[in-house]
Amino acid sequence: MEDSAVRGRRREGGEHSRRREDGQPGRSLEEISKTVWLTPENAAFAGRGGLLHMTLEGKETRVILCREFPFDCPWEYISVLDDEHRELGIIRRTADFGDEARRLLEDELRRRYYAPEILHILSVKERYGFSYWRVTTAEGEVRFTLHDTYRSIQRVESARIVFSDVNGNRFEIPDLERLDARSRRRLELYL
Amino acid sequence: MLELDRIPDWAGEQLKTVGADVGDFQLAVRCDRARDQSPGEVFLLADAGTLYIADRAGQTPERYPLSGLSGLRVEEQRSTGRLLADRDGEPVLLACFTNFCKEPVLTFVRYLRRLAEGDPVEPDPRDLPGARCCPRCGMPYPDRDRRVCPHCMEKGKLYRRMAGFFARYRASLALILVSLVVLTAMSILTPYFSKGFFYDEVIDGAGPFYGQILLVLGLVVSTRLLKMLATMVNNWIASSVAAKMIYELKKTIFRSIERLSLSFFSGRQTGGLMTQINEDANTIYEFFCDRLPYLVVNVVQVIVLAVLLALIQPLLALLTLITVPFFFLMMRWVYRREKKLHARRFSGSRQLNSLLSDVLSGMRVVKAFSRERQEIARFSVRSETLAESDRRLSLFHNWAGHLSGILLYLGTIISWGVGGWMVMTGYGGLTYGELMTFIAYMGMIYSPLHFFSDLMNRSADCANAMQRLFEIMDAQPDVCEPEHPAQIPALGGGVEFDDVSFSYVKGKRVIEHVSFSVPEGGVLGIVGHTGAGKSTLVNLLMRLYDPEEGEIRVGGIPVRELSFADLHRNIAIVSQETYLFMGTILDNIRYARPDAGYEEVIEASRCAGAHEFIMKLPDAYHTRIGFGYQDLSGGERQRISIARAILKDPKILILDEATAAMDTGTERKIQEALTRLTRGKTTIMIAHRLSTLRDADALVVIEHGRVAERGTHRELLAHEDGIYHRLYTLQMEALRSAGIVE
Repeated sequence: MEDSAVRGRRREGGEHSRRREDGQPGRSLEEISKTVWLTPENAAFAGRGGLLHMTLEGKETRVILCREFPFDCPWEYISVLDDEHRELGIIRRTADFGDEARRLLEDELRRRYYAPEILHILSVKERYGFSYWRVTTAEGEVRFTLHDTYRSIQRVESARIVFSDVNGNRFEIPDLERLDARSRRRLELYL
Repeated sequence: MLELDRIPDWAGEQLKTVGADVGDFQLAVRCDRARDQSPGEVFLLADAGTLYIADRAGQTPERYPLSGLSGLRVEEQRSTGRLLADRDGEPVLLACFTNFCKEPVLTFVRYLRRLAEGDPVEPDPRDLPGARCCPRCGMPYPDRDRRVCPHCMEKGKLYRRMAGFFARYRASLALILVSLVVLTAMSILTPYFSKGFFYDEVIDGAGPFYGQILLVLGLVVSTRLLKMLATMVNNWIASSVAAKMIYELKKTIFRSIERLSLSFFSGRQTGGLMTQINEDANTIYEFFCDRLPYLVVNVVQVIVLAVLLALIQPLLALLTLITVPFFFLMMRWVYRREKKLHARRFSGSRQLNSLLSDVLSGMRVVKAFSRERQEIARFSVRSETLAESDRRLSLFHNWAGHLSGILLYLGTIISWGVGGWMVMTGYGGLTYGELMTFIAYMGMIYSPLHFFSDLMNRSADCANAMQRLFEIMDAQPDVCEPEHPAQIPALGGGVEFDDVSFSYVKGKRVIEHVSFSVPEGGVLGIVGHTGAGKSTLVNLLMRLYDPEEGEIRVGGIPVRELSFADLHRNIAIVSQETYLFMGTILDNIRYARPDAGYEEVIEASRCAGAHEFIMKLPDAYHTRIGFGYQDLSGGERQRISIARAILKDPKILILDEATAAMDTGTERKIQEALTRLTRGKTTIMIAHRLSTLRDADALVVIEHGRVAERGTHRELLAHEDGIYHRLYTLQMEALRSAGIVE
């Protein structure tokens, strides 16, 4: 009896299954939980006006790409979602696709996961629980503000640092070891 | 016109080329990315009928008639966003921006939608660019709801505000100050009597008080006694005032927190909030009461000592005080270094503690997956890190202590050497007794100096703590009690939702145009997927949040016009998650009505089917439950919460997934208790298991925050391609495949 309750709940619970279930009455449990792997054979990509479109089983839709493991696998396990965030399928590796499709996919991912690399930390000023940062990136000088500095700076791996500012912008230091000594000293206090 | 960002000249020039004039525009906003998301500058402008997009790198602006655009939306990427719309059924990308521009762009889109519907732009003052940026430095306020720019905030203002809080303890603080002054005076006098006066005037043959050792003894003893008295008075006042002050401070903070709406907590990390408050209260108290009074004393002491030293022998004073600037420099450096080491130690201990509490509360899972060894390894790594940072901190502390000791000693050595030479040669008329006094004063000047450098550091911590405190005190509750609540002796039990819309985060509607009503004594079932917005409806009815649009009425009266007490007296919730407070079972059952008598409590528990198991507990109704005490099962907790609701005897009852986590046997028992409870009351039932809703008078199916279907169980089931029908079949199928049919 308890088992039935669990199964019944699983069927309609969970954000993901709910979304996939939507608008497609009659899909059974097996169909819902089956992963669709996207390959060059079943899926084709095209860019139009800065938006990515995918043709799957003869149907074209505008799609959004999402990394499933954004910190380890930038080009692997890419979830392809439609406008309403329903998953259409997963790409195992962007490298599986031909040059042009691969470039389209990777450009789209780069745009979506935009996080400028911090080259130097020019100054850090702490004021009442906020910290004001002045840094340089490839695009020039940037200023951003962190609230609750310790929590806003995440150490992803031992040498990789991710900043999330008050506006929701992300900045990255891919390799702490490569950062100049002065910048590192400014940052060190918060790690 | 709402110019969210100032229209630059280049955009004006571009607009002229298509015959548009800057003066005609109603809306303008800047985006910091080109459409391919490369850095750039793009302006979005709108007049009554057209959206113009001007790219600084381009020549002529693009034009989009608003009538041809539908579904304007901002798609949030991780740290950037895109403005999209549909044109001829196809999505088009209009603009890209980083999150620096997100707020203004969202505001722009909100007004643009209205503009497309033909409403002219009448800017809300809160949306004006001046309302989101600090007028002094031009930077946006980090917290939008609070117009405070930490970047430009004056420290003095913070302290003045805080000082106002302590003002009522003026008299006690003044007494503390007086006792401290006496204390300092006595400490300064003591070396004079026991050193200079003693050597030069008493034991020296030429001294006017030669041979009067008893006099010296009397003086020394009486200064000591006076000093002791002052210390006692000081400690006595300080400790009695301290407890009161810290209590008041914490009470104020807690009161300001309780007053806030739930949205304040959902927008912040509440986890550490309470510990933070406790620490902050201590930091503030320590600074104001343990440090600040000493500031006055120490300033006086340093000045007096410096004057005394100079009076004894100016040249010697100058020579020995040379070390002071070095001392300050060193203390600054030591503080910075120590802060870093402390921060590391703190983060180490925080990580260790979080791992510990994580593993201890997840012990069942750890054991079930036999991960004990890995957890031990994880623990020892963190424990080692902590030990290492501890070691480094204490090493440094030790080392820094010696270093400042040497510096201190240097001053003394100079006075010994130079002073000794002066006494021997008779240079400047320095006597042996004066030298001894000098050296004693020399030693006394360093402790206030030490205090000053420490005070500077602490004032920074205190300012942070005060800022956090004021942040909470200044926050405005979103949900306010009416000033003149409607006076209703007996509130009716009918509930009406009239075209209610609501969103937790601006722009993301969770509830859209929901209407339904339950007559007094009626039973309404609410069905829907997880996340459809069912519990939000309950939150709105309880006024934990206020709807953005529409109205909720209880007994025909809008909830906004009722006092919280009246509203909450009439509603009780039994939910899946039952929170029991630390305390006895009796206290927990009586939480809603602390004045309920013993008999009523027994009656309610019996009704809820809880009496039986309560009597099996060692201390019956006086059994302590909660963290670290007697552990109750889910069903038992549930029954206690039902007893709580029965005791409250409300007009309206909300059952939010009340039986979802129960096994069938328990569920049946609880269902019985619930049936007894709901008799004659207006009931709103939210349930996953549709079978429990069969008896409801009416059902409402919520999907994506809207009412998708409504009717009785029978009516909805008859509708074969409806959501309810599908859910019901799915659940029946699940039961059948498990070999059970209800």
